[in-house]
Amino acid sequence: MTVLTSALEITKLAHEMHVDEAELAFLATTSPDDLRDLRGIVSHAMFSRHESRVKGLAAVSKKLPAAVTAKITEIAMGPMLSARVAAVMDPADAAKLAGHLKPEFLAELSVHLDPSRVEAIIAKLDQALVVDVGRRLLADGHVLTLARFTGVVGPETSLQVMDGASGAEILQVALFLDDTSVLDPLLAGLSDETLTEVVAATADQGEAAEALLATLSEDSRARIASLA
Amino acid sequence: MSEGLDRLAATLGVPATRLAPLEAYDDQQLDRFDDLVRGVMTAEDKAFDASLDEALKMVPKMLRGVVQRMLGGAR
Repeated sequence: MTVLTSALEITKLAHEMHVDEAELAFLATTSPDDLRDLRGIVSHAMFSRHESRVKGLAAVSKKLPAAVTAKITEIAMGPMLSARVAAVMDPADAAKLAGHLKPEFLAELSVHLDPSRVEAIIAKLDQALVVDVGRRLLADGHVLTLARFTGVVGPETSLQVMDGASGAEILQVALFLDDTSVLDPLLAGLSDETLTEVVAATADQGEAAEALLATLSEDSRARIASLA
Repeated sequence: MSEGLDRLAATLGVPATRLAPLEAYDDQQLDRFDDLVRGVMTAEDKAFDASLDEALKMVPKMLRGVVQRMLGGAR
Protein backbone atom coordinates (compact mmCIF):
# COMPACT_ATOMS: atom_id res chain seq x y z
CA MET A 1 0.00 0.00 0.00
CA THR A 2 1.34 3.38 -0.90
CA VAL A 3 0.98 6.24 1.51
CA LEU A 4 2.11 8.93 -0.84
CA THR A 5 -0.30 11.35 -2.31
CA SER A 6 0.01 12.13 -5.99
CA ALA A 7 1.60 15.46 -5.09
CA LEU A 8 4.51 13.71 -3.38
CA GLU A 9 4.93 11.36 -6.32
CA ILE A 10 4.97 14.35 -8.68
CA THR A 11 7.79 15.82 -6.59
CA LYS A 12 9.72 12.57 -7.04
CA LEU A 13 9.08 12.50 -10.77
CA ALA A 14 10.18 16.13 -11.07
CA HIS A 15 13.37 15.24 -9.19
CA GLU A 16 14.01 12.34 -11.56
CA MET A 17 13.54 14.61 -14.56
CA HIS A 18 15.33 17.63 -13.04
CA VAL A 19 12.36 19.85 -13.83
CA ASP A 20 10.22 22.15 -11.72
CA GLU A 21 7.31 20.21 -10.22
CA ALA A 22 4.93 22.95 -11.40
CA GLU A 23 5.63 21.68 -14.94
CA LEU A 24 4.09 18.34 -13.95
CA ALA A 25 1.14 19.74 -12.00
CA PHE A 26 -1.29 18.56 -14.68
CA LEU A 27 -0.56 14.98 -13.59
CA ALA A 28 -2.20 15.58 -10.20
CA THR A 29 -5.22 13.46 -11.07
CA THR A 30 -3.05 10.40 -11.76
CA SER A 31 -2.91 7.90 -8.91
CA PRO A 32 0.29 7.67 -6.83
CA ASP A 33 0.87 4.09 -8.02
CA ASP A 34 0.56 5.07 -11.67
CA LEU A 35 2.89 8.03 -11.11
CA ARG A 36 5.40 5.71 -9.50
CA ASP A 37 5.25 3.44 -12.57
CA LEU A 38 5.72 6.47 -14.82
CA ARG A 39 8.79 7.49 -12.79
CA GLY A 40 10.22 4.01 -13.31
CA ILE A 41 9.62 4.24 -17.06
CA VAL A 42 11.24 7.69 -17.28
CA SER A 43 14.18 6.57 -15.12
CA HIS A 44 14.76 3.51 -17.29
CA ALA A 45 14.53 5.57 -20.49
CA MET A 46 17.17 8.00 -19.18
CA PHE A 47 19.45 5.27 -17.92
CA SER A 48 19.33 3.07 -21.02
CA ARG A 49 20.06 6.03 -23.32
CA HIS A 50 23.83 5.87 -22.73
CA GLU A 51 24.07 2.36 -21.35
CA SER A 52 26.68 0.99 -23.79
CA ARG A 53 29.07 3.93 -23.30
CA VAL A 54 28.52 3.85 -19.54
CA LYS A 55 29.41 0.15 -19.52
CA GLY A 56 32.50 1.04 -21.57
CA LEU A 57 33.54 3.57 -18.97
CA ALA A 58 33.04 1.01 -16.23
CA ALA A 59 35.30 -1.38 -18.18
CA VAL A 60 37.95 1.35 -18.57
CA SER A 61 37.85 2.09 -14.84
CA LYS A 62 38.66 -1.57 -14.17
CA LYS A 63 41.98 -1.17 -16.01
CA LEU A 64 43.15 1.91 -14.10
CA PRO A 65 44.31 2.17 -10.48
CA ALA A 66 41.42 3.21 -8.21
CA ALA A 67 43.24 6.39 -7.18
CA VAL A 68 43.60 7.48 -10.84
CA THR A 69 39.97 6.61 -11.61
CA ALA A 70 38.91 8.59 -8.54
CA LYS A 71 40.80 11.65 -9.78
CA ILE A 72 39.19 11.40 -13.24
CA THR A 73 35.80 10.81 -11.63
CA GLU A 74 35.91 13.86 -9.38
CA ILE A 75 37.65 16.30 -11.71
CA ALA A 76 36.31 15.34 -15.13
CA MET A 77 33.27 13.10 -15.04
CA GLY A 78 31.20 14.92 -12.47
CA PRO A 79 28.40 13.52 -10.32
CA MET A 80 25.79 12.70 -13.00
CA LEU A 81 28.02 10.64 -15.29
CA SER A 82 29.75 9.07 -12.28
CA ALA A 83 26.40 7.98 -10.88
CA ARG A 84 25.53 6.29 -14.17
CA VAL A 85 28.87 4.49 -14.28
CA ALA A 86 28.61 3.40 -10.64
CA ALA A 87 25.29 1.73 -11.40
CA VAL A 88 26.94 -0.70 -13.85
CA MET A 89 30.27 -1.25 -12.09
CA ASP A 90 31.24 -4.41 -10.31
CA PRO A 91 30.17 -3.72 -6.69
CA ALA A 92 33.62 -4.59 -5.28
CA ASP A 93 35.37 -2.22 -7.75
CA ALA A 94 32.83 0.52 -7.09
CA ALA A 95 33.19 0.19 -3.32
CA LYS A 96 36.98 0.35 -3.66
CA LEU A 97 36.67 3.47 -5.83
CA ALA A 98 34.24 5.08 -3.38
CA GLY A 99 36.92 4.78 -0.71
CA HIS A 100 39.09 7.12 -2.81
CA LEU A 101 36.37 9.72 -3.42
CA LYS A 102 35.65 12.67 -1.16
CA PRO A 103 32.45 12.29 0.89
CA GLU A 104 31.18 15.63 -0.43
CA PHE A 105 31.51 14.33 -4.00
CA LEU A 106 29.77 11.08 -3.03
CA ALA A 107 26.91 13.12 -1.61
CA GLU A 108 26.54 15.05 -4.91
CA LEU A 109 26.73 11.78 -6.82
CA SER A 110 24.06 10.19 -4.60
CA VAL A 111 21.50 12.75 -5.75
CA HIS A 112 21.79 11.27 -9.28
CA LEU A 113 21.81 7.62 -8.22
CA ASP A 114 19.00 5.14 -8.43
CA PRO A 115 19.50 3.37 -5.06
CA SER A 116 17.97 0.14 -6.32
CA ARG A 117 20.79 -0.14 -8.87
CA VAL A 118 23.59 0.27 -6.31
CA GLU A 119 22.33 -1.77 -3.37
CA ALA A 120 25.22 -4.26 -3.66
CA ILE A 121 27.77 -1.41 -3.69
CA ILE A 122 26.30 0.24 -0.59
CA ALA A 123 26.42 -3.08 1.24
CA LYS A 124 30.20 -3.13 0.71
CA LEU A 125 30.86 0.45 1.81
CA ASP A 126 32.29 1.42 5.15
CA GLN A 127 29.36 2.20 7.46
CA ALA A 128 30.97 5.42 8.67
CA LEU A 129 31.26 6.65 5.07
CA VAL A 130 27.59 5.89 4.39
CA VAL A 131 26.57 7.81 7.52
CA ASP A 132 28.87 10.71 6.61
CA VAL A 133 27.37 10.96 3.10
CA GLY A 134 23.84 10.68 4.50
CA ARG A 135 24.42 13.49 6.97
CA ARG A 136 25.75 15.70 4.18
CA LEU A 137 22.60 15.01 2.17
CA LEU A 138 20.46 15.89 5.18
CA ALA A 139 22.42 19.09 5.82
CA ASP A 140 21.94 20.09 2.16
CA GLY A 141 18.19 19.43 2.35
CA HIS A 142 18.18 16.40 0.05
CA VAL A 143 15.41 14.66 1.99
CA LEU A 144 14.01 13.01 -1.13
CA THR A 145 17.36 11.40 -1.93
CA LEU A 146 17.75 10.31 1.69
CA ALA A 147 14.30 8.74 1.63
CA ARG A 148 15.17 6.77 -1.50
CA PHE A 149 18.30 5.43 0.21
CA THR A 150 16.58 4.64 3.51
CA GLY A 151 15.06 1.45 2.15
CA VAL A 152 18.48 0.35 0.89
CA VAL A 153 20.75 1.17 3.84
CA GLY A 154 18.32 -0.10 6.48
CA PRO A 155 16.87 1.48 9.60
CA GLU A 156 20.00 1.24 11.77
CA THR A 157 22.14 3.29 9.40
CA SER A 158 19.26 5.66 8.68
CA LEU A 159 18.85 6.33 12.39
CA GLN A 160 22.55 7.20 12.64
CA VAL A 161 22.17 9.57 9.69
CA MET A 162 19.14 11.24 11.24
CA ASP A 163 20.59 11.48 14.73
CA GLY A 164 20.08 15.13 15.63
CA ALA A 165 17.67 15.84 12.77
CA SER A 166 14.53 17.82 13.56
CA GLY A 167 11.10 16.18 13.70
CA ALA A 168 10.14 18.05 10.52
CA GLU A 169 13.20 16.74 8.65
CA ILE A 170 12.54 13.17 9.75
CA LEU A 171 8.90 13.49 8.69
CA GLN A 172 9.96 14.79 5.27
CA VAL A 173 12.19 11.75 4.77
CA ALA A 174 9.35 9.47 5.91
CA LEU A 175 6.88 11.07 3.51
CA PHE A 176 9.12 10.37 0.53
CA LEU A 177 9.87 6.74 1.42
CA ASP A 178 9.28 4.31 -1.44
CA ASP A 179 9.15 1.39 0.97
CA THR A 180 7.09 2.28 4.04
CA SER A 181 7.91 -1.06 5.71
CA VAL A 182 11.05 0.58 7.12
CA LEU A 183 8.93 3.14 8.94
CA ASP A 184 8.14 1.06 12.04
CA PRO A 185 11.77 0.10 12.80
CA LEU A 186 12.77 3.71 12.16
CA LEU A 187 10.24 5.11 14.59
CA ALA A 188 11.12 2.41 17.13
CA GLY A 189 14.68 3.74 17.15
CA LEU A 190 13.68 7.34 17.82
CA SER A 191 13.60 8.79 21.32
CA ASP A 192 10.21 9.78 22.76
CA GLU A 193 11.23 13.42 22.46
CA THR A 194 12.11 13.14 18.76
CA LEU A 195 9.02 11.07 17.97
CA THR A 196 6.87 13.72 19.64
CA GLU A 197 8.51 16.31 17.36
CA VAL A 198 7.81 14.15 14.31
CA VAL A 199 4.15 13.72 15.25
CA ALA A 200 3.83 17.46 15.91
CA ALA A 201 5.24 18.15 12.45
CA THR A 202 2.51 16.01 10.82
CA ALA A 203 0.03 18.81 11.55
CA ASP A 204 1.53 20.78 8.65
CA GLN A 205 1.40 17.89 6.16
CA GLY A 206 -2.32 17.10 6.05
CA GLU A 207 -3.53 14.11 4.10
CA ALA A 208 -0.09 12.73 3.25
CA ALA A 209 0.95 12.57 6.91
CA GLU A 210 -2.38 10.99 7.89
CA ALA A 211 -1.90 8.34 5.22
CA LEU A 212 1.64 7.77 6.45
CA LEU A 213 0.56 7.30 10.07
CA ALA A 214 -2.13 4.88 8.93
CA THR A 215 0.54 2.49 7.61
CA LEU A 216 2.17 2.14 11.03
CA SER A 217 1.88 -1.01 13.11
CA GLU A 218 -0.40 -1.12 16.13
CA ASP A 219 2.63 -0.94 18.42
CA SER A 220 3.89 2.24 16.76
CA ARG A 221 0.45 3.84 16.87
CA ALA A 222 0.02 2.88 20.53
CA ARG A 223 3.40 4.44 21.35
CA ILE A 224 2.44 7.64 19.54
CA ALA A 225 -0.90 7.73 21.38
CA SER A 226 0.90 7.33 24.70
CA LEU A 227 3.03 10.37 23.95
CA ALA A 228 0.06 12.62 23.22
CA MET B 1 -4.66 5.30 -27.68
CA SER B 2 -4.19 8.91 -28.74
CA GLU B 3 -1.46 10.19 -31.03
CA GLY B 4 -0.02 12.17 -28.12
CA LEU B 5 0.30 9.00 -26.09
CA ASP B 6 1.94 7.19 -29.01
CA ARG B 7 4.50 10.00 -29.38
CA LEU B 8 5.30 9.95 -25.66
CA ALA B 9 5.58 6.16 -25.68
CA ALA B 10 8.02 6.34 -28.60
CA THR B 11 10.14 8.91 -26.75
CA LEU B 12 10.23 6.73 -23.64
CA GLY B 13 10.81 3.55 -25.63
CA VAL B 14 7.81 1.66 -24.26
CA PRO B 15 4.58 0.31 -25.80
CA ALA B 16 1.77 2.88 -25.52
CA THR B 17 -0.16 0.38 -23.38
CA ARG B 18 2.39 0.95 -20.57
CA LEU B 19 1.18 4.55 -20.44
CA ALA B 20 -2.52 3.66 -20.30
CA PRO B 21 -3.05 5.63 -17.03
CA LEU B 22 -2.24 8.81 -18.98
CA GLU B 23 -5.05 8.23 -21.48
CA ALA B 24 -7.21 10.69 -19.59
CA TYR B 25 -5.01 13.59 -20.68
CA ASP B 26 -5.46 15.39 -23.98
CA ASP B 27 -2.83 15.52 -26.73
CA GLN B 28 -1.78 19.06 -25.79
CA GLN B 29 -0.91 17.97 -22.25
CA LEU B 30 0.79 14.80 -23.44
CA ASP B 31 2.80 16.69 -26.05
CA ARG B 32 3.88 19.17 -23.37
CA PHE B 33 5.06 16.26 -21.24
CA ASP B 34 6.78 14.72 -24.26
CA ASP B 35 8.57 18.04 -24.88
CA LEU B 36 9.72 18.05 -21.26
CA VAL B 37 11.07 14.51 -21.50
CA ARG B 38 12.85 15.30 -24.78
CA GLY B 39 14.29 18.46 -23.27
CA VAL B 40 15.62 16.53 -20.29
CA MET B 41 17.12 13.90 -22.58
CA THR B 42 18.82 16.53 -24.74
CA ALA B 43 20.22 18.34 -21.70
CA GLU B 44 21.45 15.05 -20.28
CA ASP B 45 23.04 14.08 -23.62
CA LYS B 46 24.97 17.37 -23.67
CA ALA B 47 26.06 17.00 -20.04
CA PHE B 48 27.03 13.40 -20.69
CA ASP B 49 29.11 14.23 -23.78
CA ALA B 50 30.82 17.15 -22.02
CA SER B 51 31.69 14.97 -19.02
CA LEU B 52 32.98 12.23 -21.29
CA ASP B 53 35.18 14.69 -23.23
CA GLU B 54 36.63 16.00 -19.98
CA ALA B 55 37.27 12.46 -18.75
CA LEU B 56 39.05 11.52 -21.99
CA LYS B 57 41.32 14.57 -21.69
CA MET B 58 42.64 13.13 -18.44
CA VAL B 59 43.50 9.78 -19.99
CA PRO B 60 47.17 9.68 -21.11
CA LYS B 61 47.39 10.37 -24.88
CA MET B 62 48.97 7.00 -25.64
CA LEU B 63 45.96 5.23 -24.08
CA ARG B 64 43.25 7.57 -25.38
CA GLY B 65 42.66 5.64 -28.62
CA VAL B 66 42.28 2.38 -26.74
CA VAL B 67 39.85 3.99 -24.31
CA GLN B 68 37.84 5.57 -27.12
CA ARG B 69 37.54 2.17 -28.80
CA MET B 70 36.36 0.68 -25.50
CA LEU B 71 33.69 3.35 -25.42
CA GLY B 72 32.53 2.37 -28.88
CA GLY B 73 34.20 5.31 -30.61
CA ALA B 74 33.14 7.70 -27.82
CA ARG B 75 30.68 9.79 -29.84
